[in-house]
Amino acid sequence: MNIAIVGKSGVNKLLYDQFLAEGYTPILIENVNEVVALHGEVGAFSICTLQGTLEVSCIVFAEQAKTSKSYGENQEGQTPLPTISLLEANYNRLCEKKNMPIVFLMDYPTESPAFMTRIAIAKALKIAGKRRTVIYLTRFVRTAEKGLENLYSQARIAGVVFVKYNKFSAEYNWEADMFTLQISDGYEDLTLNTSALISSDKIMINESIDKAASVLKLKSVQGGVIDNNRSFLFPDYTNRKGIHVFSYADNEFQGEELALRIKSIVSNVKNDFNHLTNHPYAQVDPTKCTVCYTCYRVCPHAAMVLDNEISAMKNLQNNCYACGICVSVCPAGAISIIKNDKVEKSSSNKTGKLKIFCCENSGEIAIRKLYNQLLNDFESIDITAIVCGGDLSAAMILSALQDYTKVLVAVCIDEACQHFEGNQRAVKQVERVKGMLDAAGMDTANIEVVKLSNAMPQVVFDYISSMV
Amino acid sequence: MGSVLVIGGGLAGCTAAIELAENNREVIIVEKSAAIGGAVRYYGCLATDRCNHCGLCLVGELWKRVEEHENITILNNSQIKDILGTKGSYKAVLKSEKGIERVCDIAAVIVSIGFDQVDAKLTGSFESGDFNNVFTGKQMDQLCANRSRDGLFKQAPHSVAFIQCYGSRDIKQKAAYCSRVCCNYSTKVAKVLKNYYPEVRIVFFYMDLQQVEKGEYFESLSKLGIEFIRCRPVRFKPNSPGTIIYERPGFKGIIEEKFDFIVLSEGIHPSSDADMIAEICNLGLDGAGFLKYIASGDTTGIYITGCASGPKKIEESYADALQTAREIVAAVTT
Repeated sequence: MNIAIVGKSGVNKLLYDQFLAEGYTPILIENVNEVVALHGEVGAFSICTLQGTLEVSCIVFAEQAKTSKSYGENQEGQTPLPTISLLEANYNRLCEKKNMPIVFLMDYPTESPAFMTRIAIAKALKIAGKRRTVIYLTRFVRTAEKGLENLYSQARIAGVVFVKYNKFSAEYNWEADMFTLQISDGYEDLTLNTSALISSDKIMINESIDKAASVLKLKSVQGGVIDNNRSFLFPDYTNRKGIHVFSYADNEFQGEELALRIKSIVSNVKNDFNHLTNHPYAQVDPTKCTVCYTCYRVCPHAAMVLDNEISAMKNLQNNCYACGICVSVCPAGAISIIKNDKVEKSSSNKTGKLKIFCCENSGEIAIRKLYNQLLNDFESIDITAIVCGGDLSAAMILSALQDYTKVLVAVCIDEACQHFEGNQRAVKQVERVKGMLDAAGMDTANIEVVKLSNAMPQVVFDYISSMV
Repeated sequence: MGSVLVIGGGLAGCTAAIELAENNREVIIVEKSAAIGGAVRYYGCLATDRCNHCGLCLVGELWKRVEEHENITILNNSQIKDILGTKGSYKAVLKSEKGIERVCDIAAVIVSIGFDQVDAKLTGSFESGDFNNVFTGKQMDQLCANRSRDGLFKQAPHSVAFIQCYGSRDIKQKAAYCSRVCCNYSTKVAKVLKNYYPEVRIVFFYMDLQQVEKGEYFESLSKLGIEFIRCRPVRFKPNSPGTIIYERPGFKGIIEEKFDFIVLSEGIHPSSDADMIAEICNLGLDGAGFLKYIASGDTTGIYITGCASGPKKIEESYADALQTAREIVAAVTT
């Protein structure tokens, strides 16, 4: 099986080795600009490059985004200043510098990725641990990300000085190798002298990523897109089956975490192949179809298209997840799910696979207490902790039902939800999924929702054993 | 920076310990029993179909986090024998599993020895020696902790009596004060029972009731069908388990009634170690026997937290411990 690894970044070699070890044939396409067009579906992609056409089954995109210092570089009409890039800042080297405060300048012209703040605070904390004065200039500190608040309070205790500012200007004295900073927050002015000014990095618009994104149909979550010219800062997902993205934000991970992420990409590719060889799909009866486009509108995977030759809708089998939504809405009753013999065999192998979606405040703690007992009943249990039950979507439950025989949703009890009413939203989503399955004539007993507190492990155990 | 000695590894002690440990302080927990957790470890969640705000969720995975934290040393089965030195550099003498130990360089001491629950058998109210169908509040809590999907008991009870102010508000018990927590947990246990067994008859015998939650809390309980009878003392009929003799206001004569089981809402008493700890740590005792400060914590470096200084609910104890820990962190950093 050929797998194309598109892009040039630190993880490409690791991905290449991993795929080779799993018995695939990886092909590296280092220059993203070479990719001109893409045809076909998962399993039979053909990538047109400047050298020729490549036939591959899956594509992994892993291109490094371009970064540049947000201060000190590319100043119009000025020579670049010797500020230090945050990503390249080496604290050992910084600590050797003269006995002057080290200043972090967090300055973004546009939205910043949250992980940049995490890197900055972590580095500030490490330097402060070496008994250096660290001043952290910021317009605002974002602590919404998980773990960041803790890091922030640790940094404050360690003695990092956080200064909020509105206006900022700097002069550089080349002879003394020293910056003189003028900072103002609208009320008070502050003057600082420093030899080490660390500037945060911003992600630059990269034309080659833009181009690849349009060819490979890559998308970006909110915040990754600049609206004016639809440029992608860093793409991180795609709706297209068979294309996987190792997003830029992943590049900050190292060691074990990096290895895990690579493994997850490889297993996603594996899942694609399993899905290709045997899976159920929806089939349209062209004699009944009235081309009303209802299925076209509701299909979440864009698997329904018009077949011009016979004037009826057509199902793209590779895109179809057999979710049954189109079956439930078709006014003409023209669509049915085709089950493959192989699938029934494989689903019997899956018996005893349990997926648990649980709120991290209640369900996760309760279930972890009984984890070993649960393993007696199920051959494998996958626990996914979500920040709040309200995050749960019908699509998550439906896609979990593909790989697992049972799905349990465990959320907080009423009035104990820390996000107002996330638990009730989760219950509604489960009801919605059950309604969909019911309309498609499928079994709804495999999904269960339970409300509990973190001190009720026995209750969730009873629910789970009743599902066996 | 010296370490912090925590006497008593209950909710207050562990909360303070984890807060200090996460602020890079070395913490030593001295625990009398075989494992940390104290009284709260065996409590159960009192939610019915909705949260009743018992406060137990605050605990979460606290015990696991304390046991696994690298900055925390736990000495189980050990007792504090003496504390020597002055503020900032205390030395402690411990009796642990290894024998007599000496711990040096202690910057601050947190006294979180908790409370003792009233021993039902030592009170004068029981005239028969049969305790088979008498549950204490602690036992009810354990039943709630181990509850299954279908309820607390295998067979549904028909009638349950709750006796309030058991071992508090009682001069004979040397506990003239109100224990503050019993109205809270016993009414919530009653709600749990009513949730699983809607047919059960629940009667509260009380002398007065504490405000538990905002609004018309007791009215809402009455609407659920829970009876409140103002009658105390209540006597138990000899040789007839579960039978209570009481007077009902507005009714003539004495009523005898048999209940399936009786729940005693035990009060909170000072820890039996309070006298000894007070002597070791130079602390005072208040009229009821709880610990109190002679000089404030910042001047001596010895802090009292949790139920050691008086009855507290879970959330109050938790907040108290967090505040103490933050005072200690602030005392060093400023």
